[in-house]
Amino acid sequence: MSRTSDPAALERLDIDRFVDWPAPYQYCLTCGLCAGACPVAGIDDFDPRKFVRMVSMGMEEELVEARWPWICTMCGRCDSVCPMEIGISGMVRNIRGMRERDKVPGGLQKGLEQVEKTGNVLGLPKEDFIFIVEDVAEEIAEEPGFSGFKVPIDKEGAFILSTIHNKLINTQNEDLKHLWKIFYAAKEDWTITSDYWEGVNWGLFTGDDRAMRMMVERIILQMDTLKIENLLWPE
Amino acid sequence: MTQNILIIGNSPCARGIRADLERLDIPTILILADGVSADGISEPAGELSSRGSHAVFDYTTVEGCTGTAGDYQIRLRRDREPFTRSAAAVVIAEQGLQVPLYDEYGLGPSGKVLPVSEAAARAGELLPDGGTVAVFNGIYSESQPGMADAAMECAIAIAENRGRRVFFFTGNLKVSGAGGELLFRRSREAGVVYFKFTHTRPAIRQEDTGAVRIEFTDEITGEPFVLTPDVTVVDERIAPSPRLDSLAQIFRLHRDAGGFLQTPNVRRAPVSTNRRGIFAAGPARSPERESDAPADAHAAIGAVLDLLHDLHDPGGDSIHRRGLPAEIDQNACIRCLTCFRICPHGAVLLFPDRLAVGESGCMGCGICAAQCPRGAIRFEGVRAGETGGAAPDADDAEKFVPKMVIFACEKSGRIAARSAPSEKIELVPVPCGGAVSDAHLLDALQSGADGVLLLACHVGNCDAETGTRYGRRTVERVQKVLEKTGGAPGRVAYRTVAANMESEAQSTIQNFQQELSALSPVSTGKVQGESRGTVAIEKGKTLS
Amino acid sequence: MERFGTFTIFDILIKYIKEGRIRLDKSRYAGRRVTYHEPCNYARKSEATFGYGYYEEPRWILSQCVDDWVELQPNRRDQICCGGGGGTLLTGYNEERIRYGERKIRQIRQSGADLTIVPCHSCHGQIKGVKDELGMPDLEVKYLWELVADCLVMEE
Repeated sequence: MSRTSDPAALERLDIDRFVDWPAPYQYCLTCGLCAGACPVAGIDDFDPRKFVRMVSMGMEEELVEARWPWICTMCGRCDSVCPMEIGISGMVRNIRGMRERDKVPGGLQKGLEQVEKTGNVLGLPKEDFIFIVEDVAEEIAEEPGFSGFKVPIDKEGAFILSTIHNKLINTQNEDLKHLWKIFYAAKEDWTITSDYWEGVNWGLFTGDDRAMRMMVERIILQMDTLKIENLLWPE
Repeated sequence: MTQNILIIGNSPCARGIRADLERLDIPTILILADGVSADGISEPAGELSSRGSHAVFDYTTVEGCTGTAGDYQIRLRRDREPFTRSAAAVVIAEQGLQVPLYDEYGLGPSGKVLPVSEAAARAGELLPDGGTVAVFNGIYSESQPGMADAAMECAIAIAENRGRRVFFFTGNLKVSGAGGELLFRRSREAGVVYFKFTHTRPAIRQEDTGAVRIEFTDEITGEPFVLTPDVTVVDERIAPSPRLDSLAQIFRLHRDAGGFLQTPNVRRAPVSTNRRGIFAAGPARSPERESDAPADAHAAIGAVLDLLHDLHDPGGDSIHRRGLPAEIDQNACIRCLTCFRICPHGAVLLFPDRLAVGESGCMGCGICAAQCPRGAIRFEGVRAGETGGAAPDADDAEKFVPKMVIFACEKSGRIAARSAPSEKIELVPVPCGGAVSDAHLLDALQSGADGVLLLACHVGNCDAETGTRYGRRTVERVQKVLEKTGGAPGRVAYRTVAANMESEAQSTIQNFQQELSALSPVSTGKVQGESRGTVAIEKGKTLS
Repeated sequence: MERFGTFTIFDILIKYIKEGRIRLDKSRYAGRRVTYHEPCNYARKSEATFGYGYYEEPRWILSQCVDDWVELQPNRRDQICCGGGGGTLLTGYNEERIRYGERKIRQIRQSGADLTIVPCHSCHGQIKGVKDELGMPDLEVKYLWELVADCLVMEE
């Protein structure tokens, strides 16, 4: 992380770069409790205290380029021990959001773009989705006690709409069954939607408020269309 | 008896004390080494003020002091005219100096390098808007808390509302004083950026032009930086007034390492010194800032009122418990001046024909009596033990449990070891570890104790400042005597405890008892003496 | 969002159990040593963001399904992240992610549990994903609602 070349001129730092952030990072006492609580302190010679310090010195380039904000799991342990209640994990998310979108590491951005285009991370067409769901439903119906089980899709006026984690549609179909069986047992009036069923909101991870909002709005649209009053978001 | 309070000094604290005493109708005499004009005192110097019996003497030096609390005679000189005033108490509150620490940072004063006090006074026009300033505080040596406040205040004044960048280079930033953390917060809100050096130091260089260049590594990020500030503000240190040198000598006061008139002793109430009725306040007492002056002034008023009350009613309900005073037997005294020299409270008075203990100044520690080579000082402060019980003779050697006498300072050991007394352990409370003489220790052994322990205060906790050290020396001296006479030096021991160290005191006693168990009982003839039986020290026993 | 009611999975399960809409059989997992992993987002971060952390709800549900379950130490507000938070399952930094998992696996091993219950997809994926590599191949990882579904008593 550290520059081995010439020292930077202090005058050139944009100390007020993040002054608009609500996090009161300027009150950091550099006590290090956050670093002690952090499960990923030390990786890349980084820790939350150092992160806050760099924010307070306006070192934008170094922060946005660093791997560390992405290695951080935003678990919030630093936040809960900070005596000055600075809110470090929120700042990590802000920094993540400042990275150019095509440089967001791994599959996060690609998935997000896929969601935007097709409604779900997998880019799965509607008819394939329905096929998978009905296939799983048939399997449930074969289990003792669940005869006649069906998945209500796009049921207007249902009491609860449940979103779905894409990995359950993708590879872990078996895990779709648990919650649905409970709904059946409880005689719940429930439904899932054939469009925008995705419950995972990766905008939370990439620091992208716009994407996060888009996904929430889509779910709301579904609920409005189907006149459903309650949302269960198991993700 | 006079009610005058003599105040020495030109500090805001001194003025505050004088004003408060005036309101209380207590007469004051203010002694100023310089003129009065700077102090805003309107009375004609050398006269009593029209508001009552309040006098001011300007350009006046203090030349000597005799007497004791309640009746001090202070020799003064003004315009080459010597004169004397009597006073019940003296308050010294000379103004300190703020000394810039240029050397510490390898800098010299220039238009671009100036001390905190000057920078703070000129914060507004010090440099153009948008400039950069470096403030140095306590990087190479610990800064005084007051100076950390001053440096932060200065940084805020420079940074506020002018788009200037202030970089604050510090070591242990002293924010523990009142308002310290708030100042830090305010400075951060004003945009002051801190660099704290704990295991590295910045490289500070001054060019011939006076400009400063600072190269350093930020310890948290590990990033190297360089700064060439427009203005560099250098730390200062509050030093005692040079006049305290002679005042300490004249009033026989102990000083701390920095030269201030109060030692870092836990027993010292806010403004008290080693001498009763001589108080040190404000910047004469410790490196304080002007903002601390009211607190010290109030403490001084409280101390003066307490003293006047006690002097008026010595047997009253004073919170300042003093021991019984010592008394010099003029027939036995050979004027060797040992007592005069060692009395930590300056209570032994020297007259042309004799020495005497100034009763109102004596704190009853008993050090003089213990150390007088002639045994010429009567002191009733060491009395027989609290539970001097008779221990049955243990003829069965295998069951030998040593008998002990513990001399325990009333302010520490007696409290910590309060549960110790038993039929085998006699606890003798003493007013001070220094009150224990060679004779006390030897008498205890002769009375049948198998061992004698002195439980005194830690150095720095001793109310009599030097008492615990005298106690240790006495024990060591007796150990040598035992060694030379074929006895076991391990029979006497000196240990220190604080009043709240009960479990430590217990294990200290147990350990000592165990060490004694390894020795044979005294009655087997190691130390000549009477048969073993009651362990008791004669009341007021001194060397005979 | 005020137009709608939102349920967390805890709300809905507790509702079903308390209203008697589902019945659970505790004998299904008798003899197993069960523990609960607390997800950051439902617990500590929910408390920080929304002023309420779901600490006791999942524990109550767990107690309806099994008798012998043990806490991981530390837990609740001080629990440690499994390493799957913040999208790390997808950032591609797998080496680091497995390293974070070490503390969690150690914690589970110390609890003596052979079945870990989680109410979070990320945690589920992470713990399941690292357990083999970190020497606990026999550890079973289940969703909280999976446990509930497994314990369902159905009328034939």
